[in-house]
Amino acid sequence: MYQYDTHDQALVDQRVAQFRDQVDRRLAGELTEDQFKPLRLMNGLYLQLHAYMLRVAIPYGTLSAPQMRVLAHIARRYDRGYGHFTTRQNIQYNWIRLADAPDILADLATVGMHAIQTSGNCIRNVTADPWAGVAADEVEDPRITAEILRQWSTLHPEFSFLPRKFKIAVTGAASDRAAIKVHDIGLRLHRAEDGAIGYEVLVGGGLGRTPVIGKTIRAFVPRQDLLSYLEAILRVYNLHGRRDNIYKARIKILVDALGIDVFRQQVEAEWATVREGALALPDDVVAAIAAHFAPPAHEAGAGSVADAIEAAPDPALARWIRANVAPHKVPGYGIVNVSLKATDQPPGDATASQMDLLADLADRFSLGEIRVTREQNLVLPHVRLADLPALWAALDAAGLGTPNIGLISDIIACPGLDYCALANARSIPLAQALTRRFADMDRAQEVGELHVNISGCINACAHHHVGHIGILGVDRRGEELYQVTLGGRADTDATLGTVVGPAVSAERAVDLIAGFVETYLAIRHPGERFIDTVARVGTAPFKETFHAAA
Amino acid sequence: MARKLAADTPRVVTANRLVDGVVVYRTAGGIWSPRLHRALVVREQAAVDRLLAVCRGDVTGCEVVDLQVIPVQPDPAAGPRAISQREAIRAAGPTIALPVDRPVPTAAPLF
Ligand code: SF4
Repeated sequence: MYQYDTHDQALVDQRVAQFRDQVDRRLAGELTEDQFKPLRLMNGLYLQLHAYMLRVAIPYGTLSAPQMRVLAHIARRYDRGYGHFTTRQNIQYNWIRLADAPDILADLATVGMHAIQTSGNCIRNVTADPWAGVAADEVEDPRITAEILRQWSTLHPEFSFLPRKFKIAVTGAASDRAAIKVHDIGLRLHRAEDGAIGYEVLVGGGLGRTPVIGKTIRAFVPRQDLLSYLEAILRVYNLHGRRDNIYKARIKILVDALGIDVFRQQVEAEWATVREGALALPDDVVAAIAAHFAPPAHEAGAGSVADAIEAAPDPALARWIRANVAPHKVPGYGIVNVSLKATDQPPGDATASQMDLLADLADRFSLGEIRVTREQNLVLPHVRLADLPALWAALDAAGLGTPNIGLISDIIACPGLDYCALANARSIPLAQALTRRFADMDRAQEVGELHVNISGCINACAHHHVGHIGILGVDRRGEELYQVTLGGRADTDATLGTVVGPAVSAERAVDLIAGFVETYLAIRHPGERFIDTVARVGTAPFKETFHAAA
Repeated sequence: MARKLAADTPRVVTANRLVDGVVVYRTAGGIWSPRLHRALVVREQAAVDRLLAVCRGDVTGCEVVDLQVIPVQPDPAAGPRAISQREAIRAAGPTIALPVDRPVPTAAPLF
């Protein structure tokens, strides 16, 4: 894992001191709210419905056990004993006192963490494949690139006041688990014919009010040119992005307005002016960062996840391994996905005690590492297959053993109207109702992979446009209703879902989804996942379900 | 800030406490209470404007932020109630059971 150097630490410590002074001045009346608000947002502190909410950056979703313990400590000491892991691989605390925020940042700084660039019109925390460094299908660990981008983008003076927020995601694998096609910039590491590492660069993806699948702007950018090429994209965007209209300020609108070819020409022209400059990435710098992500010392082992399922002495353990454990690139190891989606649990929430336990389990079973996923779950990335029974027993006893990764009850949901000041409708109660309806895990495994995403408003924090079943909360004259889409996906074949009918009540949405599942089971071909069936037959049979239930 | 509401709509003034963000309502006694049912209900625009002017002093004085005027359902016996779902949730808190930080069995010792 990356370890802060003295520059990183000094920067974070300085920020704590600055924010402490700003909070003191605000509480003393020396700063007005108008003066203070941009300062608190630069430190991830929002005012939500009930309290301040603090968003803490988890760079590319990687946590050490000591970092997780500090997150647990913050939940316990300063919040109400829990935190919420988000689709951007961050954590949010919902019940923060302004007066405590500087102390929280100081505690975070002790383990190289902060809330810088988790809000505002800047380059946000870079996200990556949560299976980075362990996935069997990986070209290179994407965290090397993500860390380079973190260093480049942190307090980048030219890009601190962009037209709008800017999100970058990186994958190093053939299968996209970082949703790179729905980010402002998506990077896919791959090799040229001569074996050199470089990037396919996608631009202009995004969700929200105007969902767009990103377009490839360059099929291959050599590694040494990555920063200069991204700098060129950001410069064109910074110059021409629509600062006059918040709804048109994201880069996707600019790319659409210019057309990808014209946008590309402008980027190439800008690139020509910066390519040979200080941003060229020397091999030794890359090697020094890559050294932080060198694979840990795995023990010699043998066997596969399939073997572990076969050998499981308990059917419940076998079911959990089948759903939650993925192949690791080292024989004898597995990637353990820890579900934060137990029945009735608000998706992505974990208590302080659960976080502490996960830190202990990471130390004991996963070489001290934890990951946060876009799906609001956690990952113990380096688990010996022989340790699965002991790990599962410990997780299960703490309410963390739900065997539903990728299944219908593994719902992605934003905080919605229960917490969020921007929400139109509640997300969590609907997610809970769905988890109750689909609580039978054998049944859920029979249904197979099915992603349900619920956003409480069009800002789409739960990525509902790319859910196999997407649900958007809307407010129709004071009534909370839910618009349902089908056929979205966030993977390598990213697609936006199609609206299947008018918005419905929460109760009806649950029945509808149950109906969609029945329709799928009735018409699926052998081996077909829900999303494959929708791709094959379209939405028509599901619309019939919709109207039949009307 | 205040949205356009029909004249004579019963309204209260709400805000968040600066120091901790807690939702508060302006009472007849001139304090900020976390209880909506204690809020002072005003109807005429002139009364709303007078109340807001006073409350702005508490914004300047760093007691509260984010002043808003919200319509309410008056109830002489029980006190005003929120009309919108958003304000009902602001007044009463999340509609879900919050996670409870119960002790969990700890991992077996390493050695
Ligand atoms: S999607 Fe809307 S309601 Fe949900 S967290 Fe984002 S802004 Fe809030």
